[in-house]
Amino acid sequence: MIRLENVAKSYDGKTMVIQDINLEIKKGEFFVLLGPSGCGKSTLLRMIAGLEKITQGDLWIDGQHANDLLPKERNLSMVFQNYALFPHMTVRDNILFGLDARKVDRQEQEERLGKVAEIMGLAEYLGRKPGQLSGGQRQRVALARSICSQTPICLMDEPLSNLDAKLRGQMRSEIRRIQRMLGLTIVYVTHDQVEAMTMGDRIMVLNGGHVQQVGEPLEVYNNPENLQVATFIGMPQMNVFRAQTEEEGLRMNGSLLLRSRSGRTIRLPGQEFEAGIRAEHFSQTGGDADYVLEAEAAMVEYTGDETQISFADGQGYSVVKWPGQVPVRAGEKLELGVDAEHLYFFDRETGRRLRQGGGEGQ
Amino acid sequence: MRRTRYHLLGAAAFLLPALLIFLAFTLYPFVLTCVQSVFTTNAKGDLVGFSGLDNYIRLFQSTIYRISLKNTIVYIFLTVPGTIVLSLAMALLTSSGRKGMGIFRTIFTFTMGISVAAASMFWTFMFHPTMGLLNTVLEMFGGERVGWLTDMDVAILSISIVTIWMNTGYCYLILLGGLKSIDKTYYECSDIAGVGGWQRLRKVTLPLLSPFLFYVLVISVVNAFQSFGVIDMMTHGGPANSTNLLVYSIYEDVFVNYNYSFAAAQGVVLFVIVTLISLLQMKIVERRVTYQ
Repeated sequence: MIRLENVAKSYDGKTMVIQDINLEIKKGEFFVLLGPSGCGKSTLLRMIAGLEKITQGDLWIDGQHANDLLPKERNLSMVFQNYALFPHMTVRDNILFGLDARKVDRQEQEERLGKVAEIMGLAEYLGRKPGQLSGGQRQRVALARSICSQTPICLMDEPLSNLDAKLRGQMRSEIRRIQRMLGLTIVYVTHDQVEAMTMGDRIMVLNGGHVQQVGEPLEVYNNPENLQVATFIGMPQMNVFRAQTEEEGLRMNGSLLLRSRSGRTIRLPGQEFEAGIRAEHFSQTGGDADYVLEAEAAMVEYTGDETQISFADGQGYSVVKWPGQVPVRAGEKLELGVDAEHLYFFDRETGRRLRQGGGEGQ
Repeated sequence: MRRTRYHLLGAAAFLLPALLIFLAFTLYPFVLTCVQSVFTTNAKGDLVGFSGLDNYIRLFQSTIYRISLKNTIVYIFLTVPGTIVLSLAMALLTSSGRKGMGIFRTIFTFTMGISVAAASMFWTFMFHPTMGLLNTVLEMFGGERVGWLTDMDVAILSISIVTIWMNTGYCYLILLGGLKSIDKTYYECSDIAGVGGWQRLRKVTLPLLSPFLFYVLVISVVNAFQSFGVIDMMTHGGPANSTNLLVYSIYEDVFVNYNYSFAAAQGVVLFVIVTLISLLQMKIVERRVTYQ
């Protein structure tokens, strides 16, 4: 549906803000561009929309070379972060905006409007102006406009970032539901990893204008290809330690010892690297885990359904997350277990994932 | 309670200077004008005797006053649309970030820095029947000379041209600022939806610019009612009262005819007219204005 080949963007002709983007987005796919602000994800979306020129590389939309097509010729719609609703038009006119220009006849427009208003629950607001709507309703109008255009591709630029947390959760599932129902191809830009994880069929993690990883949400979560992806995805952030192999196990940040119980040594190219452990991968007792770490609880936080414990790790604090309400006091000694499969290793220089048994990456 | 009083005193101290200026230079003359308009006055402007509505009745019987009222209306219908359309067109042309537009922006606003006197001198030369640029050019192309400031039917048009030339710079600046303040995602949204050119101007740009257009409209109408400088410098209301506008007529009655109370009545009527029209604009036109 959308194909990018070696796409790059530069504003001044010298420094590239985006480089080497190779990507194929399939029909009906919900594709998420994820990254911190300034990583180039919006720029990439705007290049697909035709709002920014493509400096290098090629873009194909529906098999057609699209680099030089005007935005209107690309047969797509876009939902903006600020919704771009016209304050002087009613909800109805906002939703139907552009259909005259696309030569859709009046009767057809009415039919589409009726259907979309019903799907989006906007039927009773059609006569209102955007100024009289709540944030969530405005969001729906913006979405309704996009759906009403009946273009096969819909681009969304941080559409939920202006909503409060509760509404964001609702709209997440609503957008997903409508996307499935109508079989839309959505390219969705966000910096929110929860949105990316819950909505996307596939995620592309961008950082500094480079693709870090492309894959299905769980694949990216379970098998991050580098340190940036590993620390960007997951809440709380993955704990990262400077690690060194020793006889007994792994010396972390020069102080903590991750003791190997099986006597198995960790075999990696080189002696020094970064080790990552997700907060939820620490088990509550050493039990029969492959590795054991002794630490002292510094702070305990309860959210009701979860317990988060932080402990000093020689550099700062690392976090442990357990389901339920675990009775732990600050100052208490903990014996934390970690299984071998939950240990991630990264090259200290390049940040690339290292795998045991030698070799770099996959 | 004490605190409130203290606050009030503080507020009054800050308001006092502005209040004094307002009282001395706006309210006092206004009240005096209203009082004068129902009295007869001598040549020094002293009140001589109460005359009721006599001045007003005379006013509406006066041919010259009726002519000046008619002239003012014609002048408004020439200058207001002329100024707004021209300044809007210039603003639309130069609002894009294209290279070299800065030069045009400077050129289009430079009239703001020119005094009425200088502009009037300049245009008097332009309109000169034999040596003026306009007639010279007309003759070059085989046209006939036009009596720009001497022909009764043309003079009001000439005055209007000068007014438009003078006021366009300011209106242009306001409208340009308005265009620049429109969020560019509205245009991007239009680009994607395929709404462009004339449609985009009508459906997107103008409605979003409406608060600025409304401001420019009100200001232009009020300014047109109060026009004086250009007429005083170029035509003195002539030929044969054909460019005699309301304010110029007031000026003549005060400083030429020393007919203070009659002029005061004209002043009051002008105040009423301007107030009514402004209210009307706010009631009717502002309904179509959307503030973002």
